[in-house]
Amino acid sequence: MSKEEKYDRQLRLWQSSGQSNLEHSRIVLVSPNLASLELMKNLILPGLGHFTILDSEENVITEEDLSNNFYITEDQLGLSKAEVFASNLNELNLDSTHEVVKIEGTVQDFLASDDLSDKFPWNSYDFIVANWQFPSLIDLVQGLSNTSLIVVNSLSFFGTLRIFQKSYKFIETHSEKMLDLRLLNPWKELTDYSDSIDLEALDLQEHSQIPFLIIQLKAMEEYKRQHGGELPKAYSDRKVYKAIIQGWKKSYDELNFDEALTNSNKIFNPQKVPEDLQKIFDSLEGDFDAKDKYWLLVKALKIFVDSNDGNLPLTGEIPDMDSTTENYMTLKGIYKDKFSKDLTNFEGHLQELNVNEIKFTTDEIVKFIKNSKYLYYSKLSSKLINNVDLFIEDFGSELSEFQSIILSFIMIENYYLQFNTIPSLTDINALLNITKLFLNNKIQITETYEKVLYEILRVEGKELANISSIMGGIGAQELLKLITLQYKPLDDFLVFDGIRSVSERYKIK
Amino acid sequence: MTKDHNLKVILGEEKYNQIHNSKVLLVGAGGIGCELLKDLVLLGFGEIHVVDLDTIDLSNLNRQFLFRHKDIKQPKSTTAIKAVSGFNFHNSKLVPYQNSIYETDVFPLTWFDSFDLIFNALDNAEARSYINKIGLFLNKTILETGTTGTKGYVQATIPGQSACYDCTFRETPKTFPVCTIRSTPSQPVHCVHWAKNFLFSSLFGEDDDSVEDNSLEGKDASELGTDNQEELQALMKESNELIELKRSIVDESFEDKVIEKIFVKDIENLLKIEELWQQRTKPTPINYTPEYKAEILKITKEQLGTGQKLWTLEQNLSVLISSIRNLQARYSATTPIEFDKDDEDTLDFVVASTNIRSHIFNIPLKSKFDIKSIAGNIIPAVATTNAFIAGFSSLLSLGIFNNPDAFKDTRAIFASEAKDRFLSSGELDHPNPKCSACSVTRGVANIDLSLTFRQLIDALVEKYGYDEEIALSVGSKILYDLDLDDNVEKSFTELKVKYGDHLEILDETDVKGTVELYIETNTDGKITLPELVIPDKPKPVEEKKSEEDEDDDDDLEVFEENDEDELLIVEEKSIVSSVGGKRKLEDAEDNEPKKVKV
Repeated sequence: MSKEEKYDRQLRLWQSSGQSNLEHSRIVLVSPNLASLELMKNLILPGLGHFTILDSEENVITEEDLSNNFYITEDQLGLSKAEVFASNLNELNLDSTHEVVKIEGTVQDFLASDDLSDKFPWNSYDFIVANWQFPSLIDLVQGLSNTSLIVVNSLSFFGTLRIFQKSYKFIETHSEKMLDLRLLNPWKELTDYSDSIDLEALDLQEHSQIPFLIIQLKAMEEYKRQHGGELPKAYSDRKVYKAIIQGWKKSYDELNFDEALTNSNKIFNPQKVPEDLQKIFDSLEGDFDAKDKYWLLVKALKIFVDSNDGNLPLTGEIPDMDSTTENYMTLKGIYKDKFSKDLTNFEGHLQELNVNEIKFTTDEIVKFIKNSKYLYYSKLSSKLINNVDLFIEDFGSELSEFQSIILSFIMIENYYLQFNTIPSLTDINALLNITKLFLNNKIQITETYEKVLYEILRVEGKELANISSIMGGIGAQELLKLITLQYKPLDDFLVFDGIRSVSERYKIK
Repeated sequence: MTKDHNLKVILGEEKYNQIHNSKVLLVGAGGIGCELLKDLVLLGFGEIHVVDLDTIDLSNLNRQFLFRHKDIKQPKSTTAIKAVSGFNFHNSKLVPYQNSIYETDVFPLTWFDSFDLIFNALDNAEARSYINKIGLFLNKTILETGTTGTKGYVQATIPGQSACYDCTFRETPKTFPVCTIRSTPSQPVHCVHWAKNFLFSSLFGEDDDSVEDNSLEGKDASELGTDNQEELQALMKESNELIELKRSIVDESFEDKVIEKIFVKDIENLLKIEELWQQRTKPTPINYTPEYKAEILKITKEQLGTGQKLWTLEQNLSVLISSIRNLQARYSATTPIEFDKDDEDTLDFVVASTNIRSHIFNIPLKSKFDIKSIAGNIIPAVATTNAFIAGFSSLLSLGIFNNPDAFKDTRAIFASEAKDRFLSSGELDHPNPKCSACSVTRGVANIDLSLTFRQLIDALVEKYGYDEEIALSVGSKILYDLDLDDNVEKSFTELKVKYGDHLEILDETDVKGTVELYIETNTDGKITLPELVIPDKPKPVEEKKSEEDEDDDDDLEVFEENDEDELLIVEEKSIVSSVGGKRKLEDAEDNEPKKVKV
């Protein structure tokens, strides 16, 4: 069976590099619920390398499970959940390997044990997936260098997702790219080529086959000549600039001149270091690590930019345009040559920095350069929201719908971690009291909060199949980003309200 | 405790009962369909009918989780239903159909009318438009979904209240002038187009009009892209020789004949037309000798590596030869072969001939993986997006049941990995008054097909007060108008009007708005027309043109990195345009399909 054919439709999203990461990833799923099972399904289908289910041996399939869970059938009543889930998950894709680890006693007791880190080979996994923010797991992950924790949960019509990872260092963010054509500050070879073409001397046929970038560049020179070396800035200046192009057009059907006009605003976009990238440069001071590839590349980039008049390395790409193949290839060659030169310079800076002689492939460096304008870096918090001041700091001091959902989840989580059971409606007063204590008079309980809490308690911890499907889908999508190191990951907390069909993101400080 | 307890607790007794007593239709059992079927079964919908004509492919297994490797080539509809039966905890009645949704004898209008709600889980715009119209005829709510890679949407159509599927403008596929494809390609996509739509269909497709797209007849200079008579002559000759060549398809030497004609002689002939090459780089025919061929045949499958690798010219020739041999063995005049991206032989043929042509014309070669994407209009797809889009579709359906305020209460959902908070949702749009689908007055007519058009026209005039200046058409065929009255004495049967056709009535005096009738049939010699209130045609409003040129704004529109691949991915474009901000039809007239008289 051809893997390439089986995974064809997703390879078009994350290419073979992303797929290879996925096929080498290992995940341990702690005491699954419907949302985390859905999440695993969505990772196993595209070819996750390995998964382990870690659960209490006491957890067996009950009548109640035979309602919303498609991983089980009626004849599996009484069997170990972990075993049944693992074998049914594995059936989805035999390319994944799996393992079941059953523990004595409850999961809480197991996770609360003092020697937790010795009880299970956590560091052999890339990700731990759980439903609750077990404080011991969060602590544990802080001590591991290559393992992250994903907490996904769904209750009634609501869901939450939080990622615990030290930092995000992403290169391939798949941002919408704006080509860097550098017409406002062209380099010598490009101007030389442009100058070698005398528009007036050309016959109509040749005139209509001059690449539009050259027309724009010539018009820019002409504008500067007429305006004492100034570039067009204001809107009215740009109209003058466009009028120059319009005036050069020899015949109404010269498509290349139309292209030059239609695309003329784009060349005014600033091509220098964007704000987000500048912030990453600023982080170099505190976070640079000469043993880390990402930081070596970023620092080399900063040195390159500093020594190149603020310009990033040229990516060498140009858009399609109306032109003879010959003119197009010449122009493309000029951009490519400049890209190669920039690449060589960049590699020089990198080599100087790379005192530990870490190995970089050319592909890696080229990929970095081509994506350098849209890098992503963020540090994540590992803090638990366990008092009202932290709550206010992260979510504000009002209990709107989103805040009410978040607070309800926090309160129910505290209750669950303490009593090992999800509260029901009979506990509503106890929950409201715990909430009051937590809020410490700094925030008042609102009707909205009471409604949300009521809604969640009413369902006694039950999950609605389609809400779990949504949370499992979103959670898996985020995990795929962390695995493939592509696209922009969730940073770092998401809350979902299925009653209003809306979601909100928060960054925990 | 009963199994329904959980659901009753979450949904409430009343909602649970509504859903448990409902009957819904799910169109499509693919990526979204599998997920949606699971959700609907677990939510306890009473009766779920699933329609899908397709069978299961290997490339479905990365996301269509109800299917296993052993299910390949089995029908999607029945396999999906078998798979969910294991967890049909709420005893939903499940009915599969392995049929095309357009089959009006299997799916008459009355059949659609028996459902409370229609879930669309389709993969193409044509079928979506068809279901959209059915919904408009029946005043039935549709939950429409779509995904492209990591982006997706869910949108409800509530007839009479919300915008419908066709209210939003969709881009049509980009076309290329014939001469670019046939004689002066400059991009890989031109060669793919040539290999798939011209060369492959000429050699292995049906004998008749399967290459119409590339024929020279009936096209004006702008479609052809040239008025060079010499060039047109050469192209004509080329086509005729190809038809000749096809006759020798059973010969052992067929492969050599093809290669010598296509990659040597045709190129030499093109080179003779000097005018073509004054501004272009000249193509170079390949040098195909018996010694060269012997070398090519030594290339092994292992040397070709994966589909991500760029093959050399010789490797492409070796792939071409082996694919021609396989296709030769499969071909017979009665069973022509259609190009299918998942049919290795057809794909190999197209990949290899694309690359050989690219080589000849100094165009960069592409990997099999990339060419597959261009030739197969491949839309990236992944389990995650389908899972949450299906989740949303079923979630929104809960709020639509028996809800008179569904329009107000329902949200349209757009999800995208690029969005900070993952998804955005908004109120449903109002209908677009210029929409070619929902601005039309609709009804059901019952007609004895042995009657004549004259009898229908008389009935229309009598019932709705038209004068005789009307035009009648079905799809793109005009059956009657003032200039085409030869048909009036013909019967519906003679004019090939049949059950399930949508008959459009256009008032040529521009007074009444357009009407579309769904044709049901009887054999009692009757024409029964529906009671309709036909509003007047909206008066054209003179639109003020803004003085500024549109792109004079300081828009920060970006240069998208334009992979040629994208040009042919029609579906993707349409979804992206609805995710990224919808564009309304500016002028419905411009969007009206071309009609031909018969």
